[in-house]
Amino acid sequence: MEDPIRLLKESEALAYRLYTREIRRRIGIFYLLVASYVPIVFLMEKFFDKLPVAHNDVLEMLAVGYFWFIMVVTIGFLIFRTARIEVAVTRLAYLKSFRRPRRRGKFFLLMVSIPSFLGVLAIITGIGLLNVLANLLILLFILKWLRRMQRIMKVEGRPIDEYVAAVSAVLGIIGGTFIGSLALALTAGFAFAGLHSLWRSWRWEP
Amino acid sequence: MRNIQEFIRSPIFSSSARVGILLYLMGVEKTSFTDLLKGIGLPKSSLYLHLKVLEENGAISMRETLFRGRPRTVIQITEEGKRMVNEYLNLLEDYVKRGDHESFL
Repeated sequence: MEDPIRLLKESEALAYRLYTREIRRRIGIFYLLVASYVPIVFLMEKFFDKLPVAHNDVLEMLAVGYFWFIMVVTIGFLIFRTARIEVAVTRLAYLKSFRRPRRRGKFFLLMVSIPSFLGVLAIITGIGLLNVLANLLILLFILKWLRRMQRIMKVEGRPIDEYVAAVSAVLGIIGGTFIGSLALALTAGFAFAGLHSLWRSWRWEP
Repeated sequence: MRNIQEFIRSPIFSSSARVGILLYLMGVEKTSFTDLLKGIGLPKSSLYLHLKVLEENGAISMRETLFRGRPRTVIQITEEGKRMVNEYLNLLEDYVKRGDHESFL
């Protein structure tokens, strides 16, 4: 008689291998989108500098808008699509442990509400640093969520790309606020992490 | 309701490769033949046979499309396929709950 559990374990191993690659690919796209932020804002600046009118407010609005566009694209197209994988994976995990996986509702609520609150506070008080903090938090929340997915699937090896992305997020966003050139750390770190992730996905490495 | 043993004797669920493909498609909805071939580690002909069985049993659909001027086979899980996987996982859950789950840990 065939053992259903042995059969499932083999199937699960195969499905995880395929999932891991898919997630790595999506992470790579997300990193590259974030890496594009500083160059795009730089190009906007160059464009607006040629205009004979004052443009600081418009430029700032466009920069903030572009950052939120990246986050919306990421959350809308990358994370929500990946969430289906999470449902399938947690279902398999439940079969092993019989512990209901923690729901991520509170995490998502936190992920959206804290940065939004800080963003609104920044507008009301005019303290730009709060907006910087909001951007950093939402980026770190997304990184944490992606890392959580990898942990559920027991992805082995050091998450080098994730470390590089997290460090360059802090350095680029916080540091870049005080020393402009440090913003390049965001681009460099995320471009490296993005290209490396896509390379790993292409080579079928976790 | 069928039991798990009956289920794993059915054409779809008797093969770990076919179940693995379905579990993967549950998470991503659709993929291409080429992508699947790269990741699954099976010869092209074996993968094609597995997919044919899944398609004939209504678990997936396969269609040819053009992608950047090249033909590409898109494989998508059907609603029936999703229902089958859910039933399979429910039966497995019952099976494990009945006391045999140590072997899975």
